[in-house]
Amino acid sequence: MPTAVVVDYKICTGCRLCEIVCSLRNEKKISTNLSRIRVNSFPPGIDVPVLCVQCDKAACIEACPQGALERDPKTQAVTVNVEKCVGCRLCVEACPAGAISVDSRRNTVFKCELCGGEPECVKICPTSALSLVKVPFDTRIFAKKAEEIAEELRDLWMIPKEELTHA
Amino acid sequence: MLKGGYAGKILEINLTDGDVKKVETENYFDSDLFIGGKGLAAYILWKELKKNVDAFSEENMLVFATGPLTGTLCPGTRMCIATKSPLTGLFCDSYVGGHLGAELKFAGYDAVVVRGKSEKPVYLWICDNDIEICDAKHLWGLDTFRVEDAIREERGDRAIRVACIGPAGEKLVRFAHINTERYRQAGRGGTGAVMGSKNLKALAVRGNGSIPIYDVEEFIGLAKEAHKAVLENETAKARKRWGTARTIIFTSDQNLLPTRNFREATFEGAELLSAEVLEKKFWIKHKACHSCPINCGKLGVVRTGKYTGTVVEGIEYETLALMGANCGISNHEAVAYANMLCDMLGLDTISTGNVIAFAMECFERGILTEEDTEGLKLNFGNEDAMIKLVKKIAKREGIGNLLAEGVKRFSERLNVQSRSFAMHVKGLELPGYDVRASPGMGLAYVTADRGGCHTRAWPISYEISGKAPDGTVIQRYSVEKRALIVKMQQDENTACDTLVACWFLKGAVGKERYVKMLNAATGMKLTVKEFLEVGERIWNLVRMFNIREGLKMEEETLPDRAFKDPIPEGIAAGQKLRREQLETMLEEYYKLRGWDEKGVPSKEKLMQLGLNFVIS
Repeated sequence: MPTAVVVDYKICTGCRLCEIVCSLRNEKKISTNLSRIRVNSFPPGIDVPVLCVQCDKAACIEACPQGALERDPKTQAVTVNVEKCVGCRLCVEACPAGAISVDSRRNTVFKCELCGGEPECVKICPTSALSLVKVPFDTRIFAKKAEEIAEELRDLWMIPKEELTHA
Repeated sequence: MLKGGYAGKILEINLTDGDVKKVETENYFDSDLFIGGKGLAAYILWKELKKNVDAFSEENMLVFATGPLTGTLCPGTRMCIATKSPLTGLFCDSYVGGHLGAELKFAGYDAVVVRGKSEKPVYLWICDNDIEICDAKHLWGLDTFRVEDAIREERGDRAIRVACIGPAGEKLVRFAHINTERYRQAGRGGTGAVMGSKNLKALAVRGNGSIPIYDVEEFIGLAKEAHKAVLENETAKARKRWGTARTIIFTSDQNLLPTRNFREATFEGAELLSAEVLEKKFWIKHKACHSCPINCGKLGVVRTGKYTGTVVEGIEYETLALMGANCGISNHEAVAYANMLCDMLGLDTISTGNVIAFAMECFERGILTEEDTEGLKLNFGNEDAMIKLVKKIAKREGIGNLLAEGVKRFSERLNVQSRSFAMHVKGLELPGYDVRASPGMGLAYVTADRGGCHTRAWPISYEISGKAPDGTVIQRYSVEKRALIVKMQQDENTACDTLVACWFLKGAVGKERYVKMLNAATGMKLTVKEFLEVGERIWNLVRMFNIREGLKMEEETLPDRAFKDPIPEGIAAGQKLRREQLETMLEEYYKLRGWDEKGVPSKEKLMQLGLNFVIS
């Protein structure tokens, strides 16, 4: 069944523990740039985590000319075969969520691969804004760009479009 | 050899000649003796700041220092900004959470040391190896929110982290803050004014690198344990839901809430400023600093009425206390708007609320008249006047120009009588705890290294629970064991300020876990005893710094109000401090610290702490 980490955007606090633990687990050091999940911040304090939602019908797999993106049958995650990846970035452009990044040191892409089925970000999230779900439909419906979600949250919370000045 | 935790380099900027240097952190200071954060800052300022320079002279320095756990998986870490304060003339370390410290380390730097003064407005761009001193003509005059937006936009990167000053910092308002991410500030002591005096409008930081960790598996295990402990801790849980706003009901009930310039200690409007009201009417979401599971920050929006359009993170307890109760204002929307104005304009809400309340008392007593205030009716509870005054202070307009000097200097310009209710210690405006029902807090204010401050020691919980840390029973209004409690908390807190750990998590995480995480991250082999000794070492070093700056024992006292005017009503009605109580506590405190009767650290103490280099 399609499986992905989904986000309750309303309760993300922007603490970035997910980024820290993700890079520590996957790269053995702490780095926002090497994290598979990225928390985007928008004024005035809106936080939008973005990570791969493991689309069933995956645009990245379709876009890859090298066949470097594969589905892990055990976890349902889309994984990167770094032996095959040539860093052409076609998958980066194809992704509807903007969830694939380039590792400039190795010139390969990287993305959330669900930590082998037990995502560290879900475990550390102190507000349970992240959860691992199995759903009977294509998880692609969860894939949205950060800007779009930020706009929806702005509307939800009735944050004024015109900001006050100090005058 | 530093094996992890640290980013590795320290950035030295001289704004006078534009010189930029990158120095290896391990060659810069002895990390075993000072660790980082406050320790690093205190060491640099002791070593390199010439004595008795004016805080606004180009010789003053501004140090932005992270610690070895800043930006890591350790729950809740921050950064330290230190300088010689234009309010107190003493050492000043102010802390800021948010994400700037982590970003600075991702860029490869443990600290930025700023010297000199630029001829024209500039901002500092720090992105990995790329360091630029950029023209900031187009940013000068802008409020802090607009500065951040403008830098992100011109550089085309939303993830840039900015520390900047508002108009108040430019105008050298002595309690101007340094603002980050709109709502997180290094608030106290006037760090923003020092930045303004250097013509430095902002630091903009972007880091594409990483922070190495010495023993990754061990560190992840320890950090996760610490997170679990925090999430199970009752105090932390309450902070997570209610933020610091919850404190106002407690302090009002316990006669600790500064009300109408510290005249009263309980506020009839406290419930209107409570966390329950804010949650129901104002908050939209929780906000956390980097790596923090507590999210004590709450973002709020005012959607109707006079203050429609106000968006601010808060309202924090200190702001509710000083700009609310202390000004006699119970409308949370007015306080929220004033809070946002302070954030934008670059003012510390504690000092601002304190000095406005002082002006209100002067007005009600006839010491100030409408002629002095340009027609403002500065009565307690007048929210319009309070808001207008905030703007006047930031721009140094009219009477705002006098208030911008801080309550000590302002009261010295008025008559002698007003000095008895100018609520400061050593020039730093007192925060949200009345001392008349808390003798321990009196000692904490008096001995705090940066002047009247609540974050060095907070003995109130021991006084209310009636039990000292050694288990003995203590009376709430007595002075027994206060010296012991204050010294213990100062040393512990200072040790944590080297990591740099947020004091809201200290209780839940505990010093043992901090030391273990520090060792796992860096490869150090510190014991808890040595860690606490680091705290004591820095406390003594800063003491020596302050003595070098001319700190006098006569300054180690409280405003007359604490001794003269009893609390008018509430559970501690009739209470006030007696001068001999403070003297007793101080005497005991100096003795415990190994200081002489004038409060000067003994040679033996300094040698024992490895501070041989400060002995002249």
